[in-house]
Order: sequence, then C-alpha cells, then structure tokens
Amino acid sequence: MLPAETTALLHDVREGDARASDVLFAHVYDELRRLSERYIQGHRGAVTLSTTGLVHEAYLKMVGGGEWADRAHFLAVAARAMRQVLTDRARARRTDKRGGALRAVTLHDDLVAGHDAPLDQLLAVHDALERLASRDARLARLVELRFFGGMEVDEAAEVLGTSPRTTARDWARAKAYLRSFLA
Amino acid sequence: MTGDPDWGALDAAFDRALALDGPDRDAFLASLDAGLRARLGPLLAAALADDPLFDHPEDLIGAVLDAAGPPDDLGDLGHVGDGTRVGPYRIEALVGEGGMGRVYRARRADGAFDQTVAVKVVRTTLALAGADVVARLRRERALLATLDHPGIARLVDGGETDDGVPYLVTEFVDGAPLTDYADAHGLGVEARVRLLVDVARAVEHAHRRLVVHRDLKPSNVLVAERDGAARPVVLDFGIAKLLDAAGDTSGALTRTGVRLLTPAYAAPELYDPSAAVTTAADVYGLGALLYELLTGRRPHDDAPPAGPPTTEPTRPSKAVTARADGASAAPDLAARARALEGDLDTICLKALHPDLSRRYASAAALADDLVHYLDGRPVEARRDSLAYVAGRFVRRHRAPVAAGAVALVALIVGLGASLVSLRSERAARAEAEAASQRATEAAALLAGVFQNATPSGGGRLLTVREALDIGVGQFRAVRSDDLRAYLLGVSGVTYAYLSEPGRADSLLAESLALYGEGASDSTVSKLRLMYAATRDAFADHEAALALARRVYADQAPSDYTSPLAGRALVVRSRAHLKLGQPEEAIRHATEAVDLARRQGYHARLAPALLQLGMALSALGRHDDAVRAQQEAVRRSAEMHGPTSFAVAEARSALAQTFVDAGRYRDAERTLRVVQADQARDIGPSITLSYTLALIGSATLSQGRFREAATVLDSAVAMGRPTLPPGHADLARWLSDLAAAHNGTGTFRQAEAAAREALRRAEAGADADGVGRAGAQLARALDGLGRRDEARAVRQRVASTPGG
Repeated sequence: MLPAETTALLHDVREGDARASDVLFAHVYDELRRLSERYIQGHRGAVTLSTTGLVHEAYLKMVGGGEWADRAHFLAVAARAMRQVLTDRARARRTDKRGGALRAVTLHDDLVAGHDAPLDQLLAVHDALERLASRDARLARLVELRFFGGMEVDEAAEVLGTSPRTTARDWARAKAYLRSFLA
Repeated sequence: MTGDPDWGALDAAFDRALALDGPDRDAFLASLDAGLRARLGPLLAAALADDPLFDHPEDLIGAVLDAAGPPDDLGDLGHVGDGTRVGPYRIEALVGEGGMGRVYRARRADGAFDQTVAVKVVRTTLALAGADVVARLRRERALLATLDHPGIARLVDGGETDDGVPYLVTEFVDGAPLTDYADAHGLGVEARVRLLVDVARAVEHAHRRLVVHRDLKPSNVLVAERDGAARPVVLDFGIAKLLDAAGDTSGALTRTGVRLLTPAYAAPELYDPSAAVTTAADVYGLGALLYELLTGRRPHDDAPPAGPPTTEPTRPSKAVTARADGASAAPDLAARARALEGDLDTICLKALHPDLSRRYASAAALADDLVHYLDGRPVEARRDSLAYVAGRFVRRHRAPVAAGAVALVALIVGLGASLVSLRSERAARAEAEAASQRATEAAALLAGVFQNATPSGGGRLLTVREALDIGVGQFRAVRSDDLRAYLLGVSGVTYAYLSEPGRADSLLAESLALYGEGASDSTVSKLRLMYAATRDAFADHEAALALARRVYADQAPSDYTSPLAGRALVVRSRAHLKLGQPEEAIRHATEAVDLARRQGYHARLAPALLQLGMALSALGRHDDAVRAQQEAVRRSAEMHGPTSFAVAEARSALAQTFVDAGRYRDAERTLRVVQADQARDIGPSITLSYTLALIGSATLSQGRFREAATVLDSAVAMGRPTLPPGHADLARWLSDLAAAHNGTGTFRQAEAAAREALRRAEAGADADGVGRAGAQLARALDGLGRRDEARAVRQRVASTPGG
C-alpha cells in the first residue's frame, strides 16, 4: 500500500468511516506481520527490535511523513495491530505445541516448549487487558499503546490527547489493575 | 470486579491518592474507611513500583517473537556461519537452538588445542543486558568450572564476541537426546532406569558443589557411547541460572514470571519468580525425565495445566497405555504398563510431587531408590507397606524361573541396542531408523516363530525352550550379519539360563565369530563372559581366561566403569583356580573385591567375595576363606533378602569351604538351610542338584553312607539330563555316590556309578576325576570279589597321563 493510499484511509477513518478503519487495520496488521517475520529471520546477529521499532518501521513504510494527527492515529492503529499479531502468533504456537499426537522430542519441540511460558504470559496480559477495557476503555488503550506499541508515556499522552501528568497517573493505575488481574 | 459496586469509589480514591504525594497522601489514606484502605494498599504499591513486565515489555515480546520462529531453519546459520569465528573458535555447524540462544559445533581456530567444542551464543535480547551482566556471567562461569564429572559436559571457556555478545564454550558431546537414544535403541525398562541413575548421579555431583541445573529435559541430556557403553552427559549446567542472572539486571526475566523454563519439565515452584530455586527443582526435573523415558509422554501431557501443575501426573503405568498413537509405541504396551506398576509408579510420583518437601530429599536419594528397584530390593518410596515388602520377595523368587522368557522379551524390546553406533546425531538418526526396521523384522520373525510352532489345533502352551529351538533355526537364515549375531547371542544366553551349556556354548561361539574380534562394546563383552562360563563348563579354562582378560581390557575400570570389569575379574580368578593357579586366582578375586567396594557396586561384591573364598580355600587358608564367604552371605542377605537365590549361592560356596576345611557338620548345617529354600522355591533343578551333591559330600565325609547315597543319587539324577557328558562335577558326584555305596556295601550300585563316573571323566579329559572314579570302581570290584578286574582298573588309571 502506497503512503498516499494510507493517508487517504487515515482521513476517512478520522471522518468516522468504519469500513476504512477495518481496511487500515488489516493493512497495518499485514505489514507488521511481514516486518516481524523478517525480524525473526534476521535477528540472529546484533539486530534487536522492539515493538517501537516495528511500529515505526511500519509507519515510515506506510505513511512516510504527513500530518501529526495522521501519525498519532496510525500509531494507535498499529499498537492494536501489533497486539493482534502477537496474540495470534502466541495462540497458533501454543495450539501447534499442545494439539495433535505426541511427537518425538526434537530440539525444536523443546525450543517451542521453552517458549511456552512467554506465550502464556502474553496471552494472560491480553486477557487482563480485555478485563480492564470492560471497566475503563481509556486505560486499556493506554496500555495497548505502551505495551504493544512500545510508546513512552509522553508519546502516548499525545496520541490520547491527555496531559503527560494524567497519563503517567493513568499508567500507574492501569498496571496496578493488570497486576491484580494477573495475580 | 466488573459489576463491583465499590469499583467507582475505589478507582476514584486510587486516582486521588496517586495525584498526592508524601504526607498529603498519607493523610488522605488515613481519612478513608478501613475496608477501602485495605484494598487500596496493594494497588498503590503496584502502581508505584517499577513493574518488570509492564514497564519493560521488550523481553517478553522478544521471547514471543522468538517462539514464533519458523521451525525449519536448522540448517540456516544466520549471522554466524561456517568458518565464522567466535573468539578463538571457528564455527563448523549449527547443532541446535533453545531458549538461551544457539549452539554451534566449533573448533579452536588458533591451534592452541585441537578440540571439538560446543559454542553457545547467548540470545541477543539477553546480550543487551549490559556490562554488569557480563561481569556476573564471568563470576558464574568460575563456579561452573568447578564441576568435574564424566556425566556433566565440562565448561571449557567463555567470553564475549567483538559485538559484546556473551558466549560459553563446553565439551562437545556427540550423542542423541536421552529419550531419542532410549527409543532408537529400543531400551527396556531396566536399561532406561539405569540411564536415569547415571543422570541423577551427575546431578548430585553438581548439587554438592551448589550448582543447580534448573532446566533438565531430554535435549539437555545427551547419551554418548563410550567403549560401547551408554554414557549420559548433562549439558548446560547452571545455564538457566546464568540467564536469570542476566535477567535480574535487565529487570526482565526473573521477576516477571517469564523466567525461562520448559513447562513440561519445570517444577511448580519455578513458576513463582520470588521462590528460591533449590535442588528440589532438579529432583522434579529428573522425575520428569524418568517419566518420559518410561512412558514416552511428558508429565501432565494428557491435561496440560495453564500454570504450574498442582496435582500429581497420571501414574506412569496408566499413561503408557493411554498414549494416543500406537504406531511408535513399544511392542507390548500392556507388558510395559505391568513393569511400571508399583515401584516405578511410586518412584516417579514421589520425584514429581508438586509439594517439594514431599519429593526425594536429593538426587542421590532418587538414584538410590532406583538402584533398589533394579536390585529387586524394597524401594524407599514404599518402605512402609508390609504387604509390599512381602510382594517383592515373591517377585524375586519368580524371576529366575522366568529368566528364559525375560531373555526372549529382551530379544524383541532390546533389539536395537547393539546395532547402533552413534557417530553424530544425524548418523544416529539414520542408524536408528535402520535399527528400528531391523527390530520390526526381528519382532515379526519371532511372532512367526511362535505362530508356526503352535501345534495345529492344539491349545498347548509352547515352552520357552521349544520356541527357542525353532527360533534358532530361523535366526540362522537372517541375512543381516549384525542382526544374526545379536539373535544368536541372545539365544545362547537364554540356553545358558536354561542350563543347557552345550547349546549355549555353540551359539555363543557362532555369535561372537559374527561380531568379530574387533567388537568390544558391552553387549559383546557380556556375550564373551557368558561364553567364558560355558567354556569353563567344558573345562576349556584357557579359553575362559583369554575371554575374561579381553573383557577386562575392554571394560578397563575407572571411576565410571561398568560392572563388567568386576565380573571379568571374577571369571579370570575362577579360570586360574581351575587351572591350578590359586595365587593368581586370589590376586584377581582380591582386585574384584576392592573394585566393588570402591565403586559401591554392592551387587558385585558378594560374587567377588565368594570367589576370593574359593581361591583362599584352595591354598588351605580356610579361616580367611570362611570369613570372606560369611561376609558374602551377609551382604547378599542385606541386598536380596535372607531366602534369596544369592544367599543360597553364597551359603553353598561357604559350605564347600567348610567341606574343604574338614568342618563337615558346619557344611551340612549350612546346606540344609539352602536345600529347604531351593526345594520350596525352585524345585528340582541343576541348582538344587549342586546343593544336594554338596550335602552328599559332607555326609559321606562323616561316614553316614546310607544318607549320602540317597542324597547323591538325587543330585546325579537331577544333574544328568542338563550337564554335558564330560562335566567334571557330575563325574565327581558319581564317584562320591560310588564311594557311598561302597561304604554301605552295595557294591553293584557302586560299580555302576563308578563306571559312569570313569566314562564321563575320560570324556572330559579330567585326570583327577579318572583317578577318583577308578579308585571307587576298583574298591567296588574288590567288594564283588572280582580282584583281577580291580587290578586291571588300578593299572589303567595309574597309566592315565597326569592321573
């Protein structure tokens, strides 16, 4: 998808076009998937990559420059897409591992097994976030931006249109609630 | 909390409290009602703390992305490729990857040492943790370097690459993962248990040096073959802890609950990031390995809990039959389930207990209990049940009777064992496939043997002996030399168990010829020792000696030696004794005793002591001999129970020494106990015939001729069908029988017995026997008034070379 098309979609989304929102999300999702896959293939060296990196790379690729409002909106969509990418992978990987007949133990089975804990952990965060959203949608969006979008408090504040001070307090509350859900 | 009426109030108070600080916050909190304040306390603490998971999500997300990695990139070396250098090591190939990073086979590139090593390059997310981590890794490495055990892959070196990525260098173990190895070799339950005992001993070594493994799983325990013996080697000792150390500083791993662990093998307490990791976690890991070795399934595999397991897993005996696919299953799951039922179930569950205080106290305690199981002694895990202890004795007493059947089962189940030599993992897999195919062929062959041998329309059960006779004919037609050698060897051993040294001897010779002079692994060594025993039975003591020497050389003792070295020494001692070299015999038996004491092989100690006693007795050192053999009786009773076969064997040897020492009453008293046990437990048999013959000898020496004649007559009747015609012992019993008849004046019977003794002694080229038999024959002929014949016999015997 060309930057111009993404920008057009973003405009439509801001106009309240629900279909455009779905289309944009699908495109961002695909792009993040591709990027994360490339990351997985190539990360053996010194390359490390955070969700921040992935999201920004997707932004540069899909939007390029553009208005601030576009960027903030794009990053919000990207954080949600990133969350989807990660939970989809975690679920797929776990099903892979748990489903089906017993297989011979190979290095790779153990590799998978060795990562079960992170997979479970991620899915637990996802569920806790759903619970939080049912109570306070704004806190949940903030967590999405910070946790899955890799944003700093100040960046998230700009996206959400709240003051950094309030956002920091919201963040403190959000993680305390999530902790209590996870306990 | 959704629909929680107090949520609104709580949330508002929470937000307000966060907006205030210091004394203002305290004052605000004090103004709240107690219930609200109590709920707010933990929330506030969590809000103000730096949360390792939510404030630093990179590591979790990195781990999730890693876990999602494509599974088919083993050959892809990524950034570290062939010929790349990591420190002074040149990378040769990627051999694996896991939670901590990737593992490469490498060689020192600077020529300082020519050694193949494994280089482990730490995951990049962990590598980013910073300089502090590098320092901690270095400290931990020093601790790991103190581990020195043949069952633990040695830490060779470690450092950081130019990019600052930490790496560790360990001994390269060329082997297959524990469970793969056991399956590829078709190992039986006991062989699998024995492997785990070795692993537990290695883990115990590390525990005594305060190093916990924490991530025991099949891919971390490779089985290499050294000198033909399976040698499990534990990899990555302390690595999990190193990673935790790295995680502590980056704030990512330990405290988030994303402690790197492998759920199927991880002890429940590992899930609690605040809980200290103790050796109990490794006891659990060993239990999980044992469970998978025995059942082919991981604990809780049937119903994986979302978090830490809180219950005991399904009993292994149940799990083994419940597996979903029968395809890769052992040939007889029901038999496997029966083997696990009882002790192994209990041992597994005790090691895997979710409550760590109810597990075995140490890896050593687990290993000891498994050894108890192998020795057929009561296991610690069930020491309390009287009925159980009684049950053990029944099982033990049944065992020798079923030995033939056991050997046949071993033939099917343990088939692959001698066929595979592991060169590399890849070669091992290819070999394993070939071996499993051969195993299938052999199993089909055996199934055919049993089917074909069933008399048409007859519901009669085939005896092991009959099946074996038919089977051997078919085994000879097997094309593969490997397989034919193995099948004939096992058949030979089975005949030996069935007390048919003649059949055993020729089959063992045939099998060993197929294996060739060069073969030296433990399977061949066992066959050689058995062949030495049958050669001994044919009075070919030189051959027995040569075989035992060979086995001893192949199984040279070290701290890690197999029990075969000790057995070889006992066989050597026996052969020397038979060759009339008692000093040599004493020397080897003494070495066998020392070796068994040093290695703690209590099961080998009693036979060594018995042999030492016989050798000492031959030199006339009867008191020393009695002392050694009384210890053997004591040890056997401790180990196998007071009425076991081992005790009977020891008592028989002791009785022989009493006879040699002229203490006939002691001999007889000792033997009557043995006779009663054997008559009850095994009935008429070659074993009982030896006991009776000794009683006969003892009563004969006390001049109780009538009793002696009765007992010796039974001994001969029992021994005659199974012992080879030229067997020296049978000739001796017949001579004794003749002597007893001469004593009571029943000269006709004496003549018959003496003539048979003479014939047999001559057939066995047994000069002593010829002399003894001739003397009794001459006495009998004198008694019958046939003095000319008696004189002729005396002359003939006197002219026998060496007689």
